[in-house]
Parts: sequence; C-alpha cells; structure tokens
Amino acid sequence: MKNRPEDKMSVHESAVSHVTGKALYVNDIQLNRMLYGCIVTSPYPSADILSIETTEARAYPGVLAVLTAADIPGENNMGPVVKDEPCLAQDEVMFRGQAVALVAADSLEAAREAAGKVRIDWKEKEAVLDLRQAMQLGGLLSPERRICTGDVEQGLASAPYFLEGELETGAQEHWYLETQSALAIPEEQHIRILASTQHPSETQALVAGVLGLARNLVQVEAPRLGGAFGGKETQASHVACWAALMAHATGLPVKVHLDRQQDMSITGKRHPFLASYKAGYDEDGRLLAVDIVLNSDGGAALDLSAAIMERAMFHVDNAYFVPNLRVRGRIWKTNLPPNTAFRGFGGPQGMAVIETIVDRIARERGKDAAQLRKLNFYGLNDRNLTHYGEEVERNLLHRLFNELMESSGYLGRRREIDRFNHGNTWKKRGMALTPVKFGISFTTSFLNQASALVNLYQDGSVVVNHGGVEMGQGLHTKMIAIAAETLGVFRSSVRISPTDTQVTPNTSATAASSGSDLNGMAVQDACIQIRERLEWIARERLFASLPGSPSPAQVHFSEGWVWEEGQEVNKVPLKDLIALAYRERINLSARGFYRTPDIHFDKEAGRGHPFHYFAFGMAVSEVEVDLLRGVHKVLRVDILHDAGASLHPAIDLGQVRGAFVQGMGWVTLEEVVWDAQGRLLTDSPDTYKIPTFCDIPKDFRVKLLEDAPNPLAVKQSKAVGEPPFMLALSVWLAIKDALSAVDDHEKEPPFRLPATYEVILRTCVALQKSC
Amino acid sequence: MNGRNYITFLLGQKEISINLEGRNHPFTRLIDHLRDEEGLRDVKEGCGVGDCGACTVVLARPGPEGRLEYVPVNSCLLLLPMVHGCQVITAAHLARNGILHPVQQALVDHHGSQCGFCTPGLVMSMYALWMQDGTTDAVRIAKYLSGNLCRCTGYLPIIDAMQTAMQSRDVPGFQTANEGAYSRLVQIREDQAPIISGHLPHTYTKVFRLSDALDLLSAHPKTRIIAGNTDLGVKFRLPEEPTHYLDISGIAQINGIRYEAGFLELGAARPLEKVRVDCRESLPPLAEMLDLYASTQVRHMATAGGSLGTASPIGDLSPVLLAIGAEVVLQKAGQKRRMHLEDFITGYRTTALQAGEMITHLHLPIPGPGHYNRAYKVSRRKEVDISSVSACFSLEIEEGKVTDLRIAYGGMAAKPLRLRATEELMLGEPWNNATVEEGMAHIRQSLHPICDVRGDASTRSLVAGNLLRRFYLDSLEWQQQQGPTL
Repeated sequence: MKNRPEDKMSVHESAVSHVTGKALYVNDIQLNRMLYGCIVTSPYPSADILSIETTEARAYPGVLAVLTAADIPGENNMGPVVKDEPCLAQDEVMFRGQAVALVAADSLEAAREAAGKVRIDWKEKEAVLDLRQAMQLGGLLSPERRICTGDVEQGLASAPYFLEGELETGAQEHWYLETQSALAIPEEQHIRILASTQHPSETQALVAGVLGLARNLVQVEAPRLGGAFGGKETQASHVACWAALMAHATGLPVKVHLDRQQDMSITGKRHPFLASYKAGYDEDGRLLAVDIVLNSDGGAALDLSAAIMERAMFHVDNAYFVPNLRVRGRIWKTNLPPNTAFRGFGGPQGMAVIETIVDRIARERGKDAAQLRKLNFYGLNDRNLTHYGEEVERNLLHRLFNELMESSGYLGRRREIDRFNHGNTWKKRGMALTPVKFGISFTTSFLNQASALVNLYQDGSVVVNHGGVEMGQGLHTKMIAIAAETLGVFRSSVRISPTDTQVTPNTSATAASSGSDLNGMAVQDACIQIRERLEWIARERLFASLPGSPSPAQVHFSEGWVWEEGQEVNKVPLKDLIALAYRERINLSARGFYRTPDIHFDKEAGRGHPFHYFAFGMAVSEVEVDLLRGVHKVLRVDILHDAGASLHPAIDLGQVRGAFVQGMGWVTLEEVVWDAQGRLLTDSPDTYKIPTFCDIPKDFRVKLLEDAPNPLAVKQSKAVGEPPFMLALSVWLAIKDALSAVDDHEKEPPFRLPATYEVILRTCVALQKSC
Repeated sequence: MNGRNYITFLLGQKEISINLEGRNHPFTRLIDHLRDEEGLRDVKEGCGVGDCGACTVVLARPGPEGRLEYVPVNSCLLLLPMVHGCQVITAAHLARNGILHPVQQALVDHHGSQCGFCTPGLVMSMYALWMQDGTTDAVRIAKYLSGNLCRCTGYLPIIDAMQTAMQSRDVPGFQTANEGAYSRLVQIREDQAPIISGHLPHTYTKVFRLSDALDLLSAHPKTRIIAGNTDLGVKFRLPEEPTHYLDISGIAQINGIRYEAGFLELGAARPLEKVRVDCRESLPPLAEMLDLYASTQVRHMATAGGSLGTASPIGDLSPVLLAIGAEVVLQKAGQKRRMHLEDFITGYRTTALQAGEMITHLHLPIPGPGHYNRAYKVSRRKEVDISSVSACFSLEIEEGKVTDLRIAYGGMAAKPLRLRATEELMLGEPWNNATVEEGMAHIRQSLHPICDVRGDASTRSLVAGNLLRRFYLDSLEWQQQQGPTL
C-alpha cells in the first residue's frame, strides 16, 4: 500500500462518481419489465369521498393496477408516531394533494393518463387553511405542552422594564434536488424496496404494516440520497408504501418518482410558527422573565410535529440565561399537507423568538445588541441552568464571542456603518451578531442508539455497513475515516455498503445531526472488537517469538502495518496478520453498537437531561438594504463554529456553509404561499426561490473553532448538520438593523420572517411614510 | 414542401441519426431521449421547467471564425430535433482515458459536491465557461452559474473550483480534444432541406431558410413558431387541437445582428445571450436588463422574437424596447411591414401579428449621446427570477430642464406600458426632486397593477414610483460625471 495524498484530506467518497455522473439515485435504476406508479390525489383541502370509479382507468391501455384504500391488504396507515394518516384516503380527505388512489402502468405516460380517468365523487367541506384561523377555531393536533422554570408571573410583574409582541415565521420547502423516489421489487420470498429515505427502518415498518407482512419480509435499502434536509425522514416512507402496494398487487417492480410540482404540492414543509412573547428585563437589558407561547401549523396530521414543537420549546432560550421562563407549545390542525422535519427541527423557530426579544431590548435600551447578548449569555460557572433543568456544560459562548468580535472587527465596522447610514438616505447598512447553542441528541431518548457491521476480508480490505444514510452530508466519508484509523488500514481500503435494513436492523433516522455521533461510535465499537482479536493473535503468534518483554505491550495498527510498542523496525504487514488470524479461525467480522449514556427527559415535569451535549456557533453578518427597491445585499459574513475536534474539517465547513445559505433562504427569500382554496401557489422553482450562486455573502468567512475537543462524542468531535442553519438569523437581524437606521434606531421596525423585498418595503413605509 | 424526416447530431464523438417517424416522435424532450434511449443517467431532472439546471448539457455548434461555440442548455426544455446539427455533450463525456476533466477534478478537490444530484449539470455549465473563456472573476463565475441550483454546498467551494480549473486550461488534450467536431457539424449542416416530421394533429418542421418559413406559414396560418422552446417547453404538453410547430432557430437570415448608423437591426431568432454581449456598448440598458434575464442556459436558447411574440405583461425586454422606441419587422409571404412595439402589443398576451405573419427582425434605435438610459428590475430573487416590476427610463436634459423623457414599465398592467401621460407631465420641468416626486405620485395614481404571488398591488405600485426616484438619484451621479455644462 502506498501513502496517497488523499488519505490525508480525503474527499467525499462519492466525489468522483458525482462529477462524472456515475452516481446513481433511485430514479436512475432501470429494471426490465418495470412499472411506473402514479398517485391520484385530492383536489380539495377537505371533502368526503362519496364514490370512486376506477373502471375507465383500469381499461386504459398499459394499466396493470388501480388501487384504492379497499385494496390495502394490511393496515391503512402511514403515520409515523400516531396512526392518524391513512396510506390512501378512504372516506374523507384532509388536505389537497392527499393520496386517494394509485395507478400502475407500463409507461409513465399511461399511468398519468389513466390517473386522470379515476372518477371520484366529492362532497366538499369547510377547510381551515391558515394558522390564525385554526387558533380561533381551536383545533389542536395534540395537547398543549409546557416547560417552566422560576416564577414567570412574578418575574414579569416585578421587572423594571417590559415588552411584548408577536412574531410570525414562515414555512420552508426542502427543495432537495432529487424528488421523492422509491422502487419496490417483489422477490421470491420478500419485497425489496430501494427508497430515497432518511429512515429505512421506519420505511420498512410502514411498508410491512400496509402490506400486512412481518418486517422480515420487507427489505429497505437506501442508496445515496440527492439531498433530504428532513424532508425524507417520514414522508419518503409514503412514496415507498405506495410503490410497495402496487408491486405487491401486480407482482412486478414498480417505481414511483414524484415530479417537482407534485413533490412540492403534496409534501409537508418546515412549520410556520406564530409566537407571542412577553419579556421583563432590567436597566442593563438583563433578561429577568420571559413568557412565550409557540403556535405551529401542524397541517392535517401529526407527523413529527410534537417532537418539532418540543425542540422549539427547548431552544427558546438559545444562548441566554433566563431565571424565570415559561414556554407553552400548541400544534394546530389545518387542512394543509402535514408539516414535517426540516434541518433545525423547530430550533430555528424557537430561537427566532428570543433573538427578536434580545434585539428589541437592545434598541429599547439604546445598547449595542452584541454586547447585550453577551450580557445575557449562559455563565461559565453560574447562571447556567436551562429552563428544562439541564446544565450548560463546556460553554463555549464566551470564547466564540471574544474571538469573533476580534476577527470580524465588529466594533470598527459598527462605527463605519453608522457613518454610512448618516450619509445615505436611500441605502442603509446593518449588522448583527447572533449565537447558537443547539442541543445534540434525539429528544425522544430511546432513539439514541445505532449499530454497525464491519467485515474485514483476508486481503485487508473492509466493508462497513451502518444504520446511517448518506444524503450528501459526508457521513460515509467520516465513517470510512473512523474505520480506517481504528483498524489501521488506508481509507481507500474501506468501502461503505448501501444502508440496508437486512444488514443493519432497527435503526434510527439519520436526523437530529446525530448521524456521525451515533453511527461513528457503533462503527468504532465494531472495529475495536476486530482489532482486539487481531491484537490477541499478534501477541500470541507474531510478537511472542520476538525478543523482548513477555508482558503484553501495546500493539500499534497504522496504514497497513502492525507492530509492538517500541518495535516499529520489526513491523509486519497487517495483511499477514489477518491471514494468520483467519487460519486461526478468528472471526473477522463484528457488529458494533452504541447507546448514548445519561440522557433522559420527563415530558410531564418538563425536566431532565435531554441532550448529551451542546454545539455552539456564532456569526456576524453585514447587509446593505436598498430602501427604494426593498432588495438587500449580504456584504460580509464571519462565522466561527464549534465542531469539536472535527472528524473532517473540509466536510464540516461544507455543512456550515450549506446550512447557513439554506438558513439565509429561510430568513430572506423563500416564501410558501397557498391560495384560499388550499392550492399551493409556489409549487415550482419558477415561483419558489431558493438562494443561487449570486445570493451568498460577497465576503464569506467561515472558520471552525480550534482546540475545542468534545470528550462526549466519537473522536472528540461534534455534530454539525443543523446548528449552523440558525446562524442565518444574523442576516435577518442585520436587515432589521439596517431598516431601523431609517429612523435612527428610535422605533421598533415591524418585521417578520422571511424578510422578503415586500416585507422590507412595508417596514420601510411604516417607519418613514415618505420612503 | 420537400424535406426529410430525420435529424443528425453528435452525441459526444458518436454521430447519431434518428428517424423522427419512428418511436422517437419529434416532441420527445432531449432529457428523456438521453436518459431513456441513450442510457445517459448522468443527466438529472430536478424540476422539468428549466429553473434548476440539474439537466444541463452542453451544445457545441459551429460559430464564427471556424470555432465551435459551447453553450449550456436545459435538456428538459429542448425538444430532440432542436439538437440537429449540434454536438451534445454530457458529464459522462468529459473524462479522457480515465483522467477527469479539470473542472471535474477541481470540484472533487474543493469538496464541491455533497449530495451530488446537481453536480453533473453543474459540471456542464462549468465546462461551457471553461471552453468559452478563462475568467477567474468570482462575480462573473457566480452570474454564469446561477442557473444551476445547489441546496447543499452554499456554492462557495464551487466558485473556488471554477477558479482553480481556469488555471489548467492549457492541460494538453482537453482544449483540443474536440476540434474534429467542427467540420463534422458543418458537414451535417450543409443540407438545408427542411426537417418535416410528426403526424397530424401535431407536426414539427425545422427550416433553415426564411422563405421556407414564410411558405409554411402561408400554408398553415395558425402555425406555432418556436425557437428556443424556453416558454412552451415549460411543462411541455401537446395541445388538444391540431397544431403545426415551426422551428425557426436554424434560419441564418434572422439569427444575426447588423449595426447601422443610429440603429441596430436584430434578428428575431438571435439567442439573447448573444444580444446581451452585442449591445453592451450600443444599448447599455438592454444589456443591463439581459444581465438579469433568466439563466445562462435559457438566454442561450431564448430569443427576442419569442419574448415579444408571447407579449407577456412581465416580459423584461419590453420596457427597455418601449423606452428606446423599438420597432418590430413583420413578414408574411409577399408582405413586409414595420411597426412600433407600442402598437404591436395590443393587450394581455395579444399582438397585432396577422395570420401567417412572423417577427423577423427588431429595429432598435440607439439613443443619442445626450440621453441617460437605465433599466431596473425588482424581483424576489435578483438572479433567475421573473420580475415583479421592471422599468426603463430614457432622459435628456438641457439647462436643467427635461427635454426628452421616456418611461416604460412591465408588470404594472395587462401589457407592458409606455407612460406617456407621466412623461408629458414632467416634460419641460426642471429635473429635480419636486418634479420627480410629482412623477412618482402620478405613476402610482395612474397604474393599477395586478396582485399575484410575485407581489401585491400596493407593493408594485410603491416600487413603480420608487424606481423613478432610483433613476433620478442615479442620474445625478451621471450628471456629475458629465461635468458642469448640464
């Protein structure tokens, strides 16, 4: 084996396949005699189904099956937590785009044409299409939750200063580049599903449920995903269930691949929130008491809304200590597609509220907002207990603040901005620093487990299979690094086989930023087991004959060689040791397992230790707003992010930048609009705009915090997938800061999220009538 | 009309002839042909409406000076016969003898792919730019690539990769590898007989001579004319009623541009990306608007004739062309006429085009040297978005007074408008804040814009007025540059 430069800073394991186009996704897989499935969906947001007539559709040339709820052999459910979402609607529909019937045909055109010939008689019903309307009507999807610390009423009453308000934050469409896809293949004994899913085990369970089969008869493989961002955590299983039903009915492989318009129209989004808040604070701007009510639009079924609301409630403190804090969470039912997981998982909506409060206090008190934030940060030794009773340990906020204020030149630039604003009437600049403290772990504690299988072959090459799904985040690349280092082989000797419920069962979703933490530990555990067996053989057979101490010395494995402590000159090729171990009938395969220790949470009491640790980050953003056109430019962004001892700095930087730009989309550009009939108006990239190349900061400086090892995760690293998303709140508040300059920071600008050009113009008009 | 029913093109280095009467009917999208018939699964469909760039492939076509032009296009918008006489290149074609192309290698080295789904399309846009020129300017690169969406990376590493790849434009082989294609394509293009295919109710004809187009239009006056198919190609579906499609993109007579004293004569089928470059010096506001017009891929296919022919109320070219007083040249068999654009667009998506008539040229007067001209566009997203409001202003002042002013708006009514009443109001007045505010108020009073997903009526109205102020403020800077005489 040769020492290759890429082994030092390896690239994404699929990078070469990506750039040459060899990387295949579910929709790229073609089989002989494969059918195409089409979904017949509800044209009404709320209606009774009086009858379904499928004769004409069935008779259409090329059609092999037309299925309705009556044709489901098992349970008509695909709700992941609560069974409130049928696989195919039976008597009524709850949202526009809900699946009612399935058509399988030998071409996509035939399936589409025939789908249009399924005749359904409807009786339209009153629909709720808006969060405020749902709140008035009072339909909750699940009981109110609350978390409380201290005495909020008393705290608010006795605080010298007080403010209150409302904040609306908008929905966000995932816009993964690869739309939802699944291919179901009937095999001799079982059904095999290739699915673009973040949660193969749940896909397996739901498919088994609708087919009425035991789970051992359903195999789910997730090859690579073309992006997911939470959008394929639960709702990818829907597509898989539909494909499976059609494959089961016809005995033939069936592919379902949603086109972009259908994908955007029928799948859930990031939850829109409406928050109301009250805050009491002292003369310096120190928070004394905060009372927040979070209302989310859950859509027509619960999906993951309860866990998302829970995470929002856990993050209404963000980085700030509030001695008296009460947060209540209410999930409202509307006749829209069930909203679902999206990077941050409620965290962004929760943090936007407290960041608004802190921003307002700074303006009210005439203080620099960054300094006011620092004043309220969780303390290093005291003032460090969250509202749910978990201590903020290894707090990096103060370190990040000091380093970032310095590296971004915050104070000098603040003066520059003030000068610019005094000299310009129609253009204003603004700047904001915002922190992130994000809790790492699934808040449903039992989900924090993972397993992996590691196979070492006689030539020293390795296959690793683990429960995590590769969707672009570089998980597999990190797993290769962990396996290679632990086993002492080159990274190029390790291959990851596609995620497969038959190889690694009972997995949790690749979500909650937990992929590397959980699977990395499981992979490491399996590799350590194999290495220990090899060490034993090495001591027994290889090194025992060498001169030196008979006592067990440390055995080193590295880059294809093995040697005893102090005996590197006599190193032996690892391959020889493996061959020897095989002949000695040593098991060269191991299953690793990991469960996160010491996490628990009592939902009733709202107390516990839900997070294994916190990830931290901080950003300073500067913008320029054109008050006449409502448009803005992001001039410069400085990010300092905590990824522990990064498993792979290039990949982690990619996560930070990508999350930040996606967050910029949420806070500035992306707006989901439904009409009064529940029709999604923004159902195409023509009307729904995600950031382009030209929308990123003109000057974009991203750094990982150095010398910050995290003793609580694999190889002292930290989870990185979601936390940087929320750093984009700095862009949102920088725009607000710029608008606030219209009135020399005297008035609180009315504001909402996203700050589209229309919001900016309206705010501007409100602040200065002549503008 | 005599013709043939097959097309010929190069796919990579392989020459392909397809009989359009077979199962590949002429309305197959290029992406479907590449994926389903040629097995090129590297071409991904991300949206199907030409907005994400995942399906980008490069077309190489013979250009001036014996060189090939490499243009990125959305294969989801193109119909298969549109690539006749071109070379189609996809990401699968770029590596040579197992060595990655420099743009591919740079993307790998800079960690420029995450999920990888947008990557093959992005590689093709990068390849087109790499073949075209060696720019390392980050802003130009970002602009060029902005028709390719990526949801993972935050784009920065891709810009870095493009800059790095530009350092290796002299790597032996990759620049010259395709030189043989030029003469092969020229040879394919020698035959100027029309390509006629399809069966009623839907036929497709591609002609190479203007006379053939006019003949066909006179035989079938209701023919739908296509050039880049960037408008019809969005969710392309054949209509129920019988329709003849006429592809005019190959007609050399209407593909060029002629510079004359005081005006430009622009071929209606000239791709807008070329127009953008052509008019940079002579008609800056048109170039300014085209900088923000759709994506690189779309501009390489879309044409001015198509943009005006659809008479969209938000078509971004119209305000500029109205403000400079453009005329359209219309032809039908035995008849040629010229008409002011203002008269040509008669209402919401309606024009004065007669049956059997087509736009062949645009007559674009070049504003005199004393004029200050600017175009503005307000949209949710700056790049690759349809405007909420667009506007163009053309101003001449003497001794501080307005001697000529033309104002035109898009997105403010059922059709693009020239605001003659507002112009009238301001004519002869001093060019100052008071006059401008009067003009703003007049604009807001007299226009009653629509309310849609791109902006509500009150915002549009507010912006429309504000754009006049923006123009005024910009004109002050221009005046300063002009010196004290103004």
